[in-house]
Amino acid sequence: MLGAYNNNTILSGYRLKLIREWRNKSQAELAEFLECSVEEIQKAEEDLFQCNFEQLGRVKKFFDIEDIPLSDEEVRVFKESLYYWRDLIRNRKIDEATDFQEKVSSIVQLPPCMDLVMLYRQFEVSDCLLENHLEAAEEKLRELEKHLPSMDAENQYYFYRNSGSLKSVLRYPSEALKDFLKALTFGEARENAPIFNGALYYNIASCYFDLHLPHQTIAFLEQALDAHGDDRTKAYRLHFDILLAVSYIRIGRVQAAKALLSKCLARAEGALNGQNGLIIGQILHNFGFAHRFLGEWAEAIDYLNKAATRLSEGSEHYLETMYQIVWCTAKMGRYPQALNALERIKELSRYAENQKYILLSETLRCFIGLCQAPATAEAKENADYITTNVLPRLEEAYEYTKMLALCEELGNYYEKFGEPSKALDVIKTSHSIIKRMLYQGGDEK
Amino acid sequence: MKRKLIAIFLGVSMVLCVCTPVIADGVRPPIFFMDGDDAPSHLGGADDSFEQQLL
Repeated sequence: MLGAYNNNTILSGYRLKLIREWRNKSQAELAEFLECSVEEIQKAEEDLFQCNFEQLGRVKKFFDIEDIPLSDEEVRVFKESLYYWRDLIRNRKIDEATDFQEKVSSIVQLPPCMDLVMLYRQFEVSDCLLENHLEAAEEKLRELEKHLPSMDAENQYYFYRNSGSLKSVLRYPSEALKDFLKALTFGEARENAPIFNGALYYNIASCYFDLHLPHQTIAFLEQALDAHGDDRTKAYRLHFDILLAVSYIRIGRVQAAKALLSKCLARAEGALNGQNGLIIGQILHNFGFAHRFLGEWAEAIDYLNKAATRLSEGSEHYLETMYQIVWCTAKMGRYPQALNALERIKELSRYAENQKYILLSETLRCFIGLCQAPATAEAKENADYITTNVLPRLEEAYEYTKMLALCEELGNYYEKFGEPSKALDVIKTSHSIIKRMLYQGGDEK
Repeated sequence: MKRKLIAIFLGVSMVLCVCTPVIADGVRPPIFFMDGDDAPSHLGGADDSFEQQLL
């Protein structure tokens, strides 16, 4: 008789029914195997199936699913194994993660345990993202999306978390922001939710940052820091502070930004890890940005050069640093050096097939031409090229600060060389960008 | 008159444009693909070592 002695474990009746149907067995067959009545099976499937471990083993044997979690306790333990695998993935213990995957991958054979199967798939997507296999991640997410209406809160959390990450990497900050905000909602709704999800908060702030909305970035981060205090934000503090510092510069609070960057630099240099070059490079770049903001070209170049030595050649951040170096060098009137550094950007961006910096290197060429010999027909062509070809493309890519810098140069040029209507157009463009940065969300573009 | 108006508008606009604080840009560290603070305790959860792994 079922559940007659030792209620050692509980199996969801609903899950039992799903498995029975999936294995194409009748209630009568199961009842016969377990030596009980069909009515008892019916009752068990309607509610909870209480059984001891021996019975559980027999049920699993009957369905030929001995390695698969069935009871609530087994599901809980299996979930813990999935989390353990997730943490191996997150901590980049690749060999261990691959070995451990073999233990948990059996779950995909069991369609009735969809929550667990999907959780497994979500961590597979995270693995693809960390390995930079973006196409695979996209494909897996597309598959998972079909199950979105039936997903529990935890799966929805991971789905939107991964989907937001992919969109952020693919440079769709507005779409990524929507997904991360949904993840935040589902994350708070799931069982055992963390009190504070620092990584997700940072990602959301990064989207605001990418959308060039400095006020929202600052408000969001400061709110998180106020609400959760030093202890909870400790692990993410360096990332929070870098975002805050750059956003402060974007709104003109340069001194506050410099103080924060100094703290960041001390912390990053204190962290004894061979991979901290990227973070230190970014902090140095942002110091350069602060000086450039104040028109201190030489100091800016000094910091940017230091940053370049810390960044990996050809990477997006390296190209950005080089872009700023060329700009500052041209502003100082050192055209041969500027052109020399520009050649390097051209070469690297072509090699990396980085369309953004291929366009920006062309922009720099025009900009240098404009600074070097403004009174020539070629300079006029350069100015028109930037106005008609570069500005719209930068706008599409939310590159508002670069647009503003170019608009300022173009406005000065057109005004000086007798083209007031063009100057007016350029100024209108920069006004609309400033308004957008100050007052609007990126998706209201 | 029209020219004068344009000239005034340009003058005011240029002041605004030149005073625009943002003329360059900074960079930010990459996003986190996974969380650290909901890790089971046997992996340490959120602590300094997690941050150091990210650096």
